[in-house]
Amino acid sequence: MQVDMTVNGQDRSADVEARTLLVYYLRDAVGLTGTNVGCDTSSCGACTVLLNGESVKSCTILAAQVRGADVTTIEGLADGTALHPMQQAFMECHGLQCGYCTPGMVLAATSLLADNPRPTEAEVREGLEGNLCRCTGYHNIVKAVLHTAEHDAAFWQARASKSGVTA
Amino acid sequence: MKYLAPKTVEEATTLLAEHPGATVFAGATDVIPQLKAGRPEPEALVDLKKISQAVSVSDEGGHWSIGAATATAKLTGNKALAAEFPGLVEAAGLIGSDQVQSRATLGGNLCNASPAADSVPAMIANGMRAVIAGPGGTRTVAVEDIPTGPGSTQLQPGEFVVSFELDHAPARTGDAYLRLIPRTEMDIAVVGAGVRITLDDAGNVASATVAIGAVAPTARRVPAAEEALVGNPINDTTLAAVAEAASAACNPIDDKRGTIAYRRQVAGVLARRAVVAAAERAAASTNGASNNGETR
Amino acid sequence: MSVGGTPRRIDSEGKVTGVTEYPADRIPPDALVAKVVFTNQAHARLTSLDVRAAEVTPGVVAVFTAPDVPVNVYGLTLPDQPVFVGTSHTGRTDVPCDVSRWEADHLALVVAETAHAADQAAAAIVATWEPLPVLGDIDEAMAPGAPLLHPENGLGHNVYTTYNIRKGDMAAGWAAAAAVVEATYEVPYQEHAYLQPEAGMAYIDDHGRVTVEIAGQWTHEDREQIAHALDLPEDEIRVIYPAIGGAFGGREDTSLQIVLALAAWRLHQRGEHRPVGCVWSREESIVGHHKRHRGRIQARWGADAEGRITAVESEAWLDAGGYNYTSNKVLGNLHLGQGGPYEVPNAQVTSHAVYTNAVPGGAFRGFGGPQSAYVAECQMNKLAEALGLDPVEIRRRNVLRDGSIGITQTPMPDGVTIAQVVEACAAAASTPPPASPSEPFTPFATLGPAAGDLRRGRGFACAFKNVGFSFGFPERCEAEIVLHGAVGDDAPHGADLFHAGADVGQGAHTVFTQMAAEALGLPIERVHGHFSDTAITGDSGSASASRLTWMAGNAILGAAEEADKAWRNGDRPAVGKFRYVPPPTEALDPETGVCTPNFSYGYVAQAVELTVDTGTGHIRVDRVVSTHDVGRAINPDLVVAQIEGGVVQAHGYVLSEDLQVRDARIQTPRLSTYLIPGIGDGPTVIEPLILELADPIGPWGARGMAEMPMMTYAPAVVAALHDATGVWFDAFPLTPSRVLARLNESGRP
Repeated sequence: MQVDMTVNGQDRSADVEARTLLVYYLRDAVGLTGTNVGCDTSSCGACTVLLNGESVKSCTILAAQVRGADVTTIEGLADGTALHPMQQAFMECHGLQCGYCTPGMVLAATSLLADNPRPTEAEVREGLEGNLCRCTGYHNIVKAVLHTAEHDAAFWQARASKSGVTA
Repeated sequence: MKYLAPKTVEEATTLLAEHPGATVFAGATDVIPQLKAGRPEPEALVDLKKISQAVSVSDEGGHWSIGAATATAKLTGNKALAAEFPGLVEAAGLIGSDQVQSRATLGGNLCNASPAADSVPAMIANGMRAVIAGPGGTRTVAVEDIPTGPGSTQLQPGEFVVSFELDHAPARTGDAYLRLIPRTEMDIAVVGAGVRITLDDAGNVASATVAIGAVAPTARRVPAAEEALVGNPINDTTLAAVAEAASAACNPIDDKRGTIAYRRQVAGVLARRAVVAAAERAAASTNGASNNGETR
Repeated sequence: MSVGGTPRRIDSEGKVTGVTEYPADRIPPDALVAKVVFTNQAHARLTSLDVRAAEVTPGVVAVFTAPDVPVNVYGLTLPDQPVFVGTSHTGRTDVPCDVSRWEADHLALVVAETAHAADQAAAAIVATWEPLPVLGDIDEAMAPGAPLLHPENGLGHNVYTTYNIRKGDMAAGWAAAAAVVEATYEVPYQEHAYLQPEAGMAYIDDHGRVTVEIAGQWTHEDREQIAHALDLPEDEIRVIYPAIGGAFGGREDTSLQIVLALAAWRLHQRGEHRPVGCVWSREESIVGHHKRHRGRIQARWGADAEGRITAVESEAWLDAGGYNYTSNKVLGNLHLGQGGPYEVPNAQVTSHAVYTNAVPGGAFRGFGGPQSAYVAECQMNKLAEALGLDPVEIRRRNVLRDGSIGITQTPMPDGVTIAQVVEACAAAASTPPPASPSEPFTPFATLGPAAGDLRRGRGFACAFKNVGFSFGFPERCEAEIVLHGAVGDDAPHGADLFHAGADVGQGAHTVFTQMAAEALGLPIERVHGHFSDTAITGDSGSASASRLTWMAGNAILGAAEEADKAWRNGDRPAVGKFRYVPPPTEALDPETGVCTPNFSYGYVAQAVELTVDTGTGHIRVDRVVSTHDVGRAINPDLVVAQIEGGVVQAHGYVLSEDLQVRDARIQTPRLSTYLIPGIGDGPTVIEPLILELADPIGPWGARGMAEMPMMTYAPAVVAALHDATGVWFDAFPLTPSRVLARLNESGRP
């Protein structure tokens, strides 16, 4: 079946089987390999992408279910060559080691702050509970999210008011 | 395998009649992992998320109507619903992480018929009803009567749950849902307990519903615990009776997540604690007249 | 200054933008798809194998089986495993290749145009098996009359490696003891659960080399093993590591390396030149690679009235599974740790590795150390209890010091700092933790009003762990530096660093670059690294044994000196190559264990505070002070990151991870049933405490440290749980179910 969607601002179209998962649509049909696969059971969150701004696990959704939607992957987060504040924060705070969970973690965190621009540590942990990391012990990930929430507060407030959420 | 996305209940019933081997789904958060684990592919997947009636939440005056395919994130984000039924909303909020919450649904959680489904004991405790559409029209059934065993429900071929009805809570009512999983997140319940308590003016229990999950083939009520509570204050004696009744009502399995003995013991502990939590909410509750007629 | 600085990781931009390529990302769209077919037999003899139907399945290009492998046996430290189980093979090994000894033994490799075709062909393979008795655990494997899993070794039993230590006079030791504590401990498996499941690709490169791109821990060892199985010279094989999605020891042995190389090589011979790729599912990964060993240790320790150890009698059995992997080396490490980091005057220690049909045990962060440290520290805490001594005080009276004779009856390498580490940890733990800014998100969130059921406790443990390969295993590390500049320049304007060391996520390549910059006096941006490709780098040894920073640092220092000589000699570019060889170590004496086992150690102590919900058995670790002598922190941020990550990995090992095996088959092959810690599960507060007491022979004084956080968490948690409940736990993981059962059984609290 023909499946159209917008990926990182570009219209994409591909003829795929109905069983095709969004993650393989992105990796194989679109050729964006930044979205990783870490499990078969929707447990790890490595495949998290933004679907119309909300984080979803792209391994647990059919490409067909999101026809016409707007999908953002890790490759589409930066604004040209300028890194997104969340990407910047993960770099500065060492919020990564092997990096395999990082794209999903960065996107889940981005969605989290779009809903709640000034979360507490507990809210960050609760909000990222769908993403597993085996290297960092999560501490620096939490630190990165809190860091950008504070350091780039204006950015996140603007983001939140755009999505209709007030702080 | 075909993917079908009807836009109305009627269209959905027609499609299901045309494709008797179809599987109905909503968020797909259960069905996709099951397909990956080797469940045979159905001839068609019918997506309920495009049916507006199935994805809306509204206060109908006497009761709430909750679309069966509504993302649980919409429930946890509904302040009025969360204020009136915090236990139910917390239970809905335990189905997976944020990424899952944006897809997962009460209808899916119920009809997947896992004994461990988090929202089901809380739905039962609150006396929720399911509105079922099918070839013979619609019918309304108590949630507790829907699952008939692990993976099976009383839904007939061509039927699906469109929405749920939830009556407004009387005054001095509180609900709670507690569960145990081996880690903090992203797992299914080893034991779950949903409780709703209404207190009388003297602080005694006027009515009580106690439901336990993950400890029997389906979530089930514990009448002996309810009887032990009604007409009595919440104290060590009634709580001990609740715990004993909940443990006795278990018919659990031994599996990777917990032994039979463990589940039985913890069902008692969680039922007792859920009664305490629900009663505290009931005592502090402002539910009742002020809630009726409020518009959202 | 580059050493001691905290630059951003050199790989961080690629990792946050999705540009970084892991092995699966490298596989081009036109590549052929390979599928490994497991035998799915824990113990059985293959009586026939028919792949004709598989070969003619539409879309199938080839099916490879045992006769396609020139030398059908491999193994990192002992070649005892067939590449493929087959009814016939090309010989050159004594290992019977017609027996499956593990459910994930390989039967065939299907190569097809699509994954779907490969799956269908795999299902079309017809194998007939003669069932053999399944040896599900060490008890079954050691029972009289148990079938021999490796008769080729001529031992006549499945206990295939045993080490001894015989020191002093045990009778005198017991006579001097005022307290004796004795117990049998059971330690569990642990699955690595690196987030990136095994994946790789193979092709023939422009120089005709059989090339494998994969995630591993030691490029040159992978190359050697491929060359051995394919019977090709090593220089006709090339191994490249793209980005590696975690390892933790789980990639120390090969997974897809040999079969992918075989496929590309054989297809090339048939005129098929497309690359061959393979990506394992999580289930294939968990079923298909080794684990941290489960095992049993019986320990009996005595101490005099002052708390000084008088005797240690201890015997351990590790379940090696169907094949050795690195079990014989892991066993050595466990063996050395059975007496703890203490002066032990009289010791009788025995350690065994036992073949069974369960999943092989192998390398995992700590490499046998966590198992013996758990036992030694539980014994020490029980002695303290028996003698009414403070757990820190009893350690103060026993720890190794400079000049101490270790349990293998030779002096410890200089720079023994366990005493300082213990004191620093105890001091930090006795002061309140920094105030937490908000209510923590904890495992108790959904357990309701539990106040009456909560109990609190504190625990302490310490340990040592070798840095580098032990017991005479050849240890070396190579580095090459090329300095660039014009003739007449005083100083180079830039440098290239060539190093094979694997960056498994720990930040090795960043640290190498920092060390090279420091050694050369160049800013870090002027040093360009070229890593982990056997075609351009010398042998570095593995990313394991907490050795890589230590060994690479010494190699880089040597290469910088050589390059500087060449520079001053007028060479342009100026090339410096260096092979660092540390002080030699020795194998254990078979009878007494006398040897110099190691050339360097790291030291660790941890103090844990926890709360247990006695209604449900759930444990919340409220605080851990993790104290490490790292000698010199080359990059302090990355050291802290290793501590935090290691503590949470240890937390999973001790509390939630529960690899269940029944009849030698894994029952929990998914991340939904094998529960690694999530973001809400670790300790509420982790306080990394770093000491910098130089290792006399470490580069800039550095010591290895990456394994140390794993070492002491189990005994520290168990001690805290005992403090909270009065009950000792001689087995873990401490899942809620097990904790409650044990509390019930003990009648407390």
